[in-house]
Amino acid sequence: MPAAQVTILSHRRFSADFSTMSTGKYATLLPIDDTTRKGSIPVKQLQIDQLDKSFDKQIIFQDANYTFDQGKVYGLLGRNGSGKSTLFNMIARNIPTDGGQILIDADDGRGPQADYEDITVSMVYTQPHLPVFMTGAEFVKFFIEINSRRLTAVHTSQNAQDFLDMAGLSEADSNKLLRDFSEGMRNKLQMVVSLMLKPPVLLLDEPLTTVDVVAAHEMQQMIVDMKADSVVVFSTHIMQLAQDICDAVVLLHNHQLEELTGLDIHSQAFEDAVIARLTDEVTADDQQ
Amino acid sequence: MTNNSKRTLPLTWFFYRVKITTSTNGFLYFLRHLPLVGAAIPPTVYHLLGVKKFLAVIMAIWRLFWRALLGFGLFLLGFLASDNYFLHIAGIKPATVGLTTSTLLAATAWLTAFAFIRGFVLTDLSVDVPTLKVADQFSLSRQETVQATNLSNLIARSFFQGLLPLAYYAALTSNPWLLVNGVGLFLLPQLWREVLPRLAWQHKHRAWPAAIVFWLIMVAAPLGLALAGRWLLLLTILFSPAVAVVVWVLAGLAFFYWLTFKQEPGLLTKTLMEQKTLGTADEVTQAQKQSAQYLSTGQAMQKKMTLDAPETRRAGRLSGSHYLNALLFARYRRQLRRSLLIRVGIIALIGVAALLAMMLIPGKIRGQANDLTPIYGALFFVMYLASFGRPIVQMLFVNCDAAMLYYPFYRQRRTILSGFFYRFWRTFLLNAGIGLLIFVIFLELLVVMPAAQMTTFYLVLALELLGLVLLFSFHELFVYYLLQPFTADMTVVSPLYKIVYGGMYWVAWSFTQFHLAGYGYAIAIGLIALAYVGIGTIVIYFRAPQTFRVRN
Repeated sequence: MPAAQVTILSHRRFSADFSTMSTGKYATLLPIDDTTRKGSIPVKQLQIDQLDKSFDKQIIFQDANYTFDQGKVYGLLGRNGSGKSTLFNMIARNIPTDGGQILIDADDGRGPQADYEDITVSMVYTQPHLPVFMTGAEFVKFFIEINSRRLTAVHTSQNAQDFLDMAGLSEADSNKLLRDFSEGMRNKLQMVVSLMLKPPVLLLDEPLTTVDVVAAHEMQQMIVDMKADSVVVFSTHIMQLAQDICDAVVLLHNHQLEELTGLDIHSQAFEDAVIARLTDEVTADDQQ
Repeated sequence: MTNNSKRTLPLTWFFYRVKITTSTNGFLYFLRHLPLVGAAIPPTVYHLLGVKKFLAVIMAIWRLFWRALLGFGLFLLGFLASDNYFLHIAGIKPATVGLTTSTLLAATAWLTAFAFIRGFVLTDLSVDVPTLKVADQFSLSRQETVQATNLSNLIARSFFQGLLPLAYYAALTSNPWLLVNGVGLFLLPQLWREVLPRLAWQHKHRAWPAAIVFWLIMVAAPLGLALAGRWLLLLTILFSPAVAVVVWVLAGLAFFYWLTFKQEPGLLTKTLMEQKTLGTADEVTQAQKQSAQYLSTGQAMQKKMTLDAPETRRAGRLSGSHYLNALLFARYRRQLRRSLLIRVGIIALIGVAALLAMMLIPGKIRGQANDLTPIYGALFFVMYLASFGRPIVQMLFVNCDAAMLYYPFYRQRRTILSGFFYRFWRTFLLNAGIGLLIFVIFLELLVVMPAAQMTTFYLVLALELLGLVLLFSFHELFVYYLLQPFTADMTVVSPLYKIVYGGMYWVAWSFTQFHLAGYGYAIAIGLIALAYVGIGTIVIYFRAPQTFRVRN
């Protein structure tokens, strides 16, 4: 079954838009030759192996283990301060681990690597990281120019107008300084450029909190499309969002990473189980 | 050559163009926000991509030219050191030693000084944080960025600062070893800067012995020989073919070790983490560092806020904006009172000490005290330092406005003005305490000098202090409401605010330097302050509803 159809079936709320997004002006941005879309076994992996991390005396992770696979969107849920951003920052090599290791198999024939290059991971932050004293058009132009080799490797368009269209920027908008963009617009532009590089691992740290409903809708679709090329991990506090776009939900709970299984992700029972688990009540798994 | 090395030139040029483009756009943005001038500059000014590229080329050429100039300049300093050495240590007239010897010793001094400075390294990688920030923004590899930046700097420095002057003087003295050995010796300390952190990461216990050996050979040995008067031996060894072989082999090994180092990711993370703790790395820390001077007091006060202050209950009688502001000041009452006591204590201590000095050491001091009008100028700076305007503005933004300004009702004219005047009044009360204390200290002069006829002095002093109290209670709030320079993440984005912020210090300082005296000055200050408050109030009334909002 083609990947686009799989996506439609598993994400009922956006089925109408999927067909629109994967045709017309966005068509050139899709991969030309991607074996994972033809049904082969996904091979890119992010492995968390016996991970330990603490700040002063506060333990964040203790012997945490989990493997994230290409082909799924993972929702990372946890209470405030449970370590979602810490985990992302460790994977993105912004902070070191205390023990254990993080391995990435980028499907390059080398197998899981602990000393992976930092561009193996792309992180989309809640607050966009963009050069504010550049116009949108300049940013895209420079971005394509310096990433030309990587864009070519993943068969992505190198036409600046495609990027701007995808970010929903008119000509007038794209010639404004990024500092004059709304935060939602900046966020969307950052996400578009990150997605176009199709990194082996894509981390999204609550990226939809500042965008408007239309932009959020389009960005959800982009995230879902990315699972064909990357390991996609998405952190959010919004349960509805996790249920809408995620294929699996991983909880940060008691210093561990734990996938909630055995329930339909879209059901009320699933939502109740997540809340119960995160509030240390009787777990759904125990009840079963 | 590794793949990363091949990207050195394109990446270096890219980072340079980004830098020039953002700087140019920043300057244009600043111009567009200036009164009058700004209106004449259309938004299309940002489209001039060709101009920015041309500027980048010009600036790059200028930078390379500057490097060469620096290289020649430092080499000339070497001649100064060489002449002084011959004159004061070797006891030889510099003119008698000949150009070649003099040049070789100058080169030795210059290269030893360079090794001394460049060899003074820690175990962190050399990283340029703004460049890494750009790399993050463009999804570029940090490792590749660090390598490209350091490699291009090494090449540019070695060619323009090292090779050009060495080649010139080698040609002048017809001594090829000056060039061959000189460039090698110029390269080694730079490569050492790359090798040592990696060596320390890979073999923790070998780094420091290696660093000591480097210093002994590159710095201590030449210095020791020179100080022992063995300069001829030093020059013979240093510019010999054997040393050329050793130096270039070592340079080659160092290059190889650097460019093929496998544990770069872990070392880079460690370096960035350690620099973060020093407050110099990553975007967030940078922003925090930059905003620290503007909001550090407010943030520190937030940590010490007390919820159970007695005034909190009294504030409950009020409503609306007054209630909110009263609540805020109630929760910081204890801290503000403590700050007031500290200020009062310091001023009182200085005042009492001065009075005691006048009583105990009569004569000269008392003679000077007969004309006290020069004190009027200094009072401006004293009130600037002691004023509560700045800490209160920081407290207001960090603890209240940063959140409340998102609500439309909070940005209504009535609410803004009501809040402004309440805050002005509370700031005025605190500053008035300081003004009153200063006045009382001067009143004590009547005890020390009962015969002095000082009625006019006191009247003018009262007027000036009133003016200053009003000015410093009003100014910070006025600027804050009119420019509101802070973003939600506590970053200052208004260049004008930065200028005004720093400018006030220089104004206050200059008042102490111009030795302003006489009643005219004090009266002028009083009247100007009163006029400023009056006109400012009108400006606030009309403009603040448009300007008082959280910046993007």
